[in-house]
Amino acid sequence: MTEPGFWRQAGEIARKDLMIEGRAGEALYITVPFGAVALMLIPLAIGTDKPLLATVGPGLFLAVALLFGMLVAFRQTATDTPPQRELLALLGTDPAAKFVGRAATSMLLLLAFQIVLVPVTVLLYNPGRMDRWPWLLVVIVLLASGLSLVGTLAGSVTVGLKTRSTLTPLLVAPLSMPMLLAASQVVEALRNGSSILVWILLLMTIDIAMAAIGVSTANPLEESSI
Amino acid sequence: MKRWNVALNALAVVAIGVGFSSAVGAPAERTQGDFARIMFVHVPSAWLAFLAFGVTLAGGVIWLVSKSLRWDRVAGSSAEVGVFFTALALVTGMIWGYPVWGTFWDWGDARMMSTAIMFFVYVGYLALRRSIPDRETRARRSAILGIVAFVQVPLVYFSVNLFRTLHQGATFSGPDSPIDEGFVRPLLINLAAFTLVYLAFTASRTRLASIEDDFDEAAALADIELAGSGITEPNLGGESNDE
Amino acid sequence: MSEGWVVLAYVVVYGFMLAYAGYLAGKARSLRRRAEG
Repeated sequence: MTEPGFWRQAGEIARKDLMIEGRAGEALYITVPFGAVALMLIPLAIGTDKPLLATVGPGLFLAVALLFGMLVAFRQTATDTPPQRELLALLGTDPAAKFVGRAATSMLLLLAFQIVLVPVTVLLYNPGRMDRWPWLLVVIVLLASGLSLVGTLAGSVTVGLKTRSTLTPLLVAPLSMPMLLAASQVVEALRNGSSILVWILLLMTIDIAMAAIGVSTANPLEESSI
Repeated sequence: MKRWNVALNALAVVAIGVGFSSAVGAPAERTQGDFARIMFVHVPSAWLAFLAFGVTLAGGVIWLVSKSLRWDRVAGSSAEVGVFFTALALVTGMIWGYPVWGTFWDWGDARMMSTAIMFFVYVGYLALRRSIPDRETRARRSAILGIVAFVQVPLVYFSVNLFRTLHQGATFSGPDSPIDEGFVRPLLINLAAFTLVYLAFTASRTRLASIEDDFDEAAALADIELAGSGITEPNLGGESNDE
Repeated sequence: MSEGWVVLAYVVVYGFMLAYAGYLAGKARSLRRRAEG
């Protein structure tokens, strides 16, 4: 029997991860409400002045999407226990395919996370309609993929460590800064009618760079003894 | 301490002294007066931070290829010294910024922003290293993170630069603005001095890491022996089969 | 006025360097003590 190809393996891993997450429901029942609470808390801290909130609303959505969304990438079900890892290794799974599959699931969950929080943001902050707003969907997709790639990478580097739950966010947060900047600049450009092309390209470049690093370092990482 | 280590340290101290005197001796700058002398310590700090993190990247990659732990120690030590220089660059940049901008921080300054982000990225790198007791795992994961971290440097710099040029236009005077001819020599002298300080610190730190590793290895081996030596051969009388 | 800032910057830089050197020396001393102890 021929060995399944790279994409087939990645697809199976993604499917398995989605199924497990479907049962655990961490992203849906825990992280999404957490993000919603964050969006609610912030006006209590910065002021509930309506024009202020309308201005900062989209930016805060992006900040919450990144800072709280990254928790989706290091959810409990995204980590393999040693027996699971051994099983995958025995099956001859390509570590790079494992990375891609895992990142793909995280991306889908992050997409869902953001999409649920969009109406919450609109309700709480009332940002007002924007021309060319469908581009925001493109931004959300690019952000979801970039964050899932960085998050999966950071997650695989902190496997088995006691300080994992605090260390991984510390690693991801500064690395997400260019993504956040690019995304918020798209929003700004949409608002004042200028070109968004360069920022979209920047987001795509980040995604490609992170994917390349993740795939190429998956094999060396696999030999980890923990 | 090894002789060349002592020599390097002494050389670094002398070089700093030379750098300081050249900074003091430089004529006052055209537009900024005496104030521009901060540049002699700010610019080299930022440069050395970048160099240090480049060495961390290289050390990690060489470890991945050769598996020689010495390179991992170099990578880790260089990161620690790099964080040190990054902190220096940030503090001196803010000391410059306050009288000039009226605030400690200018959101449009691409270089300061990149430096600040790098500070946190490499603090995270050091935190990761601290969390992993096993040498090989630590080396492997640090090397990967080192690659990701360094790739971020151009991304951050480019994105903030773009942000700045679109919002404030290209003209801008900051800690790294173009300088007089008479300033180049003291700047280069201090750059050389700071480089020697980096080399001295990193060499010492690497050596200390090596000694620490030897201790940890010896302790681990001693533990293993202790666990086994509690069991002795039962004495049943008669002849022993051992020679 | 601006001299104060310049002096502060240099004091901070050289002070940090001394502090880090001290940290390295302290580490070396504790490792030496481990070797003897």
